[in-house]
Amino acid sequence: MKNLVELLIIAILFFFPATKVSAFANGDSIIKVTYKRIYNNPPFPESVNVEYLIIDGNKSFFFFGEGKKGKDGKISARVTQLKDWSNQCLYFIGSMYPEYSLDSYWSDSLPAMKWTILNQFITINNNYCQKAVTTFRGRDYTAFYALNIPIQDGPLKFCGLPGLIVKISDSKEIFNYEMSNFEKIPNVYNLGIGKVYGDYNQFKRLFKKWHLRRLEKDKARREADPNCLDCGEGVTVGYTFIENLLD
Amino acid sequence: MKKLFIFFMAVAVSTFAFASSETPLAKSILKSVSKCTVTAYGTYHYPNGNNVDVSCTKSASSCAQAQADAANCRDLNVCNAVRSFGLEPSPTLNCPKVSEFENP
Repeated sequence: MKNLVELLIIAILFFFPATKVSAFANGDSIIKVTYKRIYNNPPFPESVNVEYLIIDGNKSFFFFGEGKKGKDGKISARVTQLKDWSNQCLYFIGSMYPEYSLDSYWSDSLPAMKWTILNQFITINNNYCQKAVTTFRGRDYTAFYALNIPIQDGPLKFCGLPGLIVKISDSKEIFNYEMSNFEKIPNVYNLGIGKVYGDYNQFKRLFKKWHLRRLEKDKARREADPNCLDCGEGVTVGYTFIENLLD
Repeated sequence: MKKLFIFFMAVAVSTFAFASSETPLAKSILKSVSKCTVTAYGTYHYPNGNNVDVSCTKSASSCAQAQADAANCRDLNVCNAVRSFGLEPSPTLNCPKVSEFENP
């Protein structure tokens, strides 16, 4: 009997990660995770946004804003990242206007980063969390994931830890996300993505060309009119990429 | 007797928050650099996590004019950043129409 109990415990522990999402969200209910995003890049003004992670079965949707309520009462929003665990694929928004509209998406690995889990623990908003670090496309990140919420998800592309990412910041603390709410609610969302045009490598190659064209256009405007109000002397427009898209 | 008139003008720090139904938050502040030279900072958060950081330093004979020029420059660049992603800026940004903007 004792052996049977031990076997049962081992079986539960073994299969628990596989049930990471469905154990929390099933039927008509979903998990809604609210993150506070803080962009802190002095001397530029700090900006604070609220962004959401909706976990619905084997899929999760990350987006900003409250979305729009349709005639059917469902809320739709422009999804910036979709993680589809059923086919181990992540899709992200990648507009390069005008060639690729705002409904253009690209695929990426899931998870896209490798973590190192450290033996450090902290309680954040009543969640017992463990520390993990990763280097992802040009930035070093420190994350804290909740040991009591075995959902391998997080904001943006971040995921792949044994628990939900409660807090994550890059080493310069420019990009910061912190969970402010976690709730199980009825599914009031109608979320989806647009056409997928290619993978991350294709996106990166096209983005670099698109960005260089943008810089050249800005330069041409400056040269045409050195006194131009929004492009002349004293004007700098910098781009702070969360992923290093230009190397 | 040598007469010297020194005018010190403090430029108020202003904060603007912009948002549209389609855009994340963009904020800007104005900061005084020296007499009648003003720098306006702005940042725009793209939906994909990237940011555009704008800095406009403008000088004028009056500080009020420098402040207005710097803020206008910053706003135009934020408009440009919003549109570069295929979004239509919020009316609160008071962006020029596309044709005017692309052919100033």
